[in-house]
This record gives sequence, C-alpha cells and structure tokens, in this order.
Amino acid sequence: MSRRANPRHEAFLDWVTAIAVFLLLSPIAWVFLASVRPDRDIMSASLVPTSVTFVHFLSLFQRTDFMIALANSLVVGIVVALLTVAIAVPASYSISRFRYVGRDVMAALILGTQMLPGVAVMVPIVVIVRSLGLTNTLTALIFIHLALGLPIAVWMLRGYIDSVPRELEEAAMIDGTGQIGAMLRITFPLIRPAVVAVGTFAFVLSWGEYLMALALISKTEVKTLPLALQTLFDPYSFSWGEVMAGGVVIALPTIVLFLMFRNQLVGGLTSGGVKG
Amino acid sequence: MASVELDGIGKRYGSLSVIEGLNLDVRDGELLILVGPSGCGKSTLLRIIAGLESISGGELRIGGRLVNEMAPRDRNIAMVFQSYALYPHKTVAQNMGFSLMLAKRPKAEIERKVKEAADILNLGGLLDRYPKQLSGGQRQRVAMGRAIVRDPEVFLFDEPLSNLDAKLRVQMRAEIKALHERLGTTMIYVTHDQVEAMTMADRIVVLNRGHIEQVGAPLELYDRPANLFVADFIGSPSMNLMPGRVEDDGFRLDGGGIVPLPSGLLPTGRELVLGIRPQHLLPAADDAPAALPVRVLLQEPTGDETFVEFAFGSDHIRAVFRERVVIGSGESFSLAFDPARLHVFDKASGERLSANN
Repeated sequence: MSRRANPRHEAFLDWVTAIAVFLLLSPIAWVFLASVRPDRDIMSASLVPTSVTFVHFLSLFQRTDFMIALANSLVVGIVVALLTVAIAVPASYSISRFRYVGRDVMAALILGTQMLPGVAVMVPIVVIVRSLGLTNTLTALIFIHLALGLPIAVWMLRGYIDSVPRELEEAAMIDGTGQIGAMLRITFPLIRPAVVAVGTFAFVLSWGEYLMALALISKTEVKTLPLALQTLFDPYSFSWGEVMAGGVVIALPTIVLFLMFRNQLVGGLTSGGVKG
Repeated sequence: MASVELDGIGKRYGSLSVIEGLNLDVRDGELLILVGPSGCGKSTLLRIIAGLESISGGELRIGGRLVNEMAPRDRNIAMVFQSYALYPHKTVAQNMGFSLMLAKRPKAEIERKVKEAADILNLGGLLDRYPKQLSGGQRQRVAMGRAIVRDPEVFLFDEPLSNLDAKLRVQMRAEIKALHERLGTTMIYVTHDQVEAMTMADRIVVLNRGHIEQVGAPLELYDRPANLFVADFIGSPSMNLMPGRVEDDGFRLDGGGIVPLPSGLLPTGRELVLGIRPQHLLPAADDAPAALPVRVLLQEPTGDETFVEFAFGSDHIRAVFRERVVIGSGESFSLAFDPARLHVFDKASGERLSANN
C-alpha cells in the first residue's frame, strides 16, 4: 500500500479544511465588520460595508461602566495568569520529579476536578463565596478563575517536565547546583514555551469567563467585560454596532496575545522532546 | 586525584535490596571498570558514588573524606552520562563552563579552562554551537569536556560509548584511555561491554546481582576467572563450559561426550565443570591421542578467523580457528587442546579449582 498522498484525497482534505476555517471565521469576521458599520447598515444582507465608521468604539469607550469593566478584566486576567504560573510550575515539578506518599492520588484529584461541569459546582461556590463575605469582589473571581484553570495548567506542565530528561538535572547537580537550582537553571528554561502557553491560556480563560462572574457580581464597579457586554443590550438605547464593538474589544487581547507568543505557543503545543 | 573506598555499601529500594555489603577500593589514579550484565547494579553503584542515589548502608569515602551525606556538587567529582545530558539551551562553551560559572570563577579563567579542554578534545571550532547541531561523537566529546573543565578528583563514566556506532566507539575508547594517561585522574567507568572493559581498564570489577564476582587486571580475569560467572562473561566468544564428572577414562560430560585427560590431573568421581576458550581449541592432527571427536554444526568465516560450532555428544562446543578451515556441515572433525589451557570449576559452588593458567 502506498503512503503517498492521492491528489484527489488531498484536494478533498483541502476543501474540508477550507469549509471548517470558513465556518469558524465567518461569525468572527462578521463581528469585526459589523463593529465598523453604521447601525442602519448592519442588518442589510450584504457583507460589504457601505461606509466605515468608528463611532461605535467611540461611544463604547465613553461609557465609564465599560471602561471600569475593561480595567477589572485586565486586573483579574493578569493576576490569574501570574498566579497560575507561580503555582502550576512548582506543583507540576513536584508531581513529575519527586516520589512521596499520596502523590498519584493528589495528581488524580487535581485532574478529577475537571470531570465536574462548572454549572454543577456553581451553587456550592456561590454559597462558599457568600459565607466568606466575598461576593461582589474581584478577589473571589480571581480565586475561582484560578481554580478553573490550574488543574489543566498543572497537567500540561507535568507532561513537559516529564519530557525533560532527569539526567540534565543530575548533571547540573554534579556541576554545582542544588535541586532547586537545577530546576530554575535547566528545566525551567527548557519548558518556558509551555509556561508561556499556560499563562496565556489562564488569561484567556479568565478574560472570557461569564457564568461565575454572573453568579457572583452585580455591582457595576466590579463587573468584568463579559458582564459589561451584557449590559449593552439595553432595551432603551440599543445599538448592534456597539455590541459588536464590545465583541471586538473582548476578542482583541486573545488575538494579540496569540500573535505575540505565536512561536512560543506553537512550540509549546507541538514540541515534546527536549533531547540533549 | 583521590582514592574511592566503598565499605560495606548497601542499597535498598523499599524491601528490594539491589546491593548488599559491597567492599571495593579504587586506587588513586587508576582506571577502574565496572562491568556486568544489565541489572547487576553497576550503574546504581556509580550513581551512589556520584551522590545521585542515597546509601542505605555502609560508608563511602572519596580521598579519605566520608561523603555518605554529601551533596553531589560537594564531592569534587565529574560524571559523563550515557545520554551525555548536555544542556540543550546552552552552547558548547556554556555547557563546558557551567560548573565554573556556578563556582563564580572569573570570566577569563572560565574562558581559558574551556579553551584548554576544547583543545584537548578537538572541539575548538564548535564552542558556539548548540548540542543539537553536533554529531553523536562531538556530543560525547563535549560531555567529556564538561567533566575535564571541572578538574575533579574522580571521573565517573556511565556507559558513555553505548550510543555511538561501532567505529566511533573504538576511536573514543582510545581517546578516553589517552585522556586517562594524560590527566592521571582516578576514573570509574561503567559498561556492559566486556571488550571495552578488557581494552581500557587498569582493573576490572565484574558485578553480578549486586555483588562483586571478581576484581583484577583484565588479563588476570581472562586467564584465571574466579568462577563460572566470570568465565562465561569475560572473553568473546565466551568460554565453552561443560559440566560432567571425572572418571577413569577421562572427563565424562553430562551431554555424553568424553574428554580425554592425562590421568591424575583431576580426582576421580568429582562433579566438575570444565572450561576451555574457543581460541584454545585446534584442529587435531590425525594421530593425536587426546582429541575430541566432534561433528560440525555451523561455520562462520570472518576472513582472518573462522568461527565454528561443533556438536560433542549433546553439548555444543565453539571454536575459533586462526587459519582458514574448509569443512562442511555435518562432517566429523577432531579437536585438540592443551590440557594446561583447561579451566576447572566446582559444579556445586561454581568456584575455580585448578591452578592452571
């Protein structure tokens, strides 16, 4: 049997890919286009704008509630990303490198938290947060987003640390580092793409999280972007263009982050082996 | 330079004991090779000396200092790993200078020492490359360079040549030996390849299941193996070992054949194992009195030697002939040997009995 690609199969696969990309991108493209079209233009059947306007963005940025939400989302997202990295790196290192009683149980428990759908734990979380007196605080959101993203972060990093040969650290320890020094000087630089990927992932997860925010936040001054976007659906002064501009603002950091770390991310997602 | 003393060293993983009560003195400046089959504990022993494995019992001294609880970095040793363990994100120069950088030595000194080591190992043009840009042999050299730069008291090698192809292995073998002669530093070298051990070592330690079978100079082990394990392990192809019993007319093998022996050489009635190296069997002259009547099973000419497998009773005997021998499979043949070349082992204990060479 020949393993060489059949041209007909290749053409077919190209088409499937093209259709998938179109299906994925067209709503996003539509949002971008709609955000720069006049309101009366948006509902027309044509995809091509008759005129380009940034009036939706201007009116959006003049709304203080939206700007507060933007700042809140940035604060929560950045803190969550940093904390995720700060906790996941040592946690995954410990699971990957050390042997101790209860290690595998703990690792399984960490993964086990991913088995429950978010909705299932929403009520207990709300009750806990309320009893702690943390409703309507960003602190509560930070903790919850951290809990949502950490398990995957730990397991992702564990895989990468597993792929760094132990002998590299042993060589470093003979060369003059301690265990921690070997981790910081040898293993950490080698898994840096994965660390960037994990941090980006945590930020994006927090940035777009809606359900928990909705359950915990009601005050304007602590609302995050997804909640602020919802308030744009104001029955008295409603503008599709403004909603679409809000959509673009939400999507933008994810895209920018991806472009910035594209090489690191693709490296982080595909390169497993780091062989000497 | 330093001696290494292992005094009653033991290693347990949980209830599993892999090394027990092992005693060994590595002399100052010698190249000692630990050899044995997989799982014999040789790498574990090396890692214990390096400080990468904890010691479950006994005392370990390097240069007279007790180092049982000492961290690897404080033992003043260097190790070359089987996988080389080069830091992938550092250049050759950074790999080699890493230990000096950690020791906060002046930059000029680091550069000088790295350059010296690179000159010894012919790595001059490669200092700015990364490990992935090097061939297997070059990586091997960098790993050795990293060890040399440290100027350690003891070098540890963990099967450093097993990832190289046969030709390069022979070349690196010679380079390591030359390096040892040049530096005069104590080296402990682990391998499963007995040819490597024979060609390089000052002394060889044969390990089996966590204990020492024999320690000695290469030819001493070859000429006078202390027991059946060493007899079988050292030498290639390995020694013919034939269990049997001494009778009046010779040595009767369990496989049925009778080996004629000069009378009085061995006590009658004793259960023994007779050993003879394939290289010490010769085609017998037609009128030779003490010859083994055998049948040819298989022959493998290599050009300068002929490797032949014979059936003797139900035993198989291997022989290596220097000259070209033309014989067909299934043909009868006569093998002669010098009784002085025989090795005799006690069947029950496996220990060497005779004082033959």
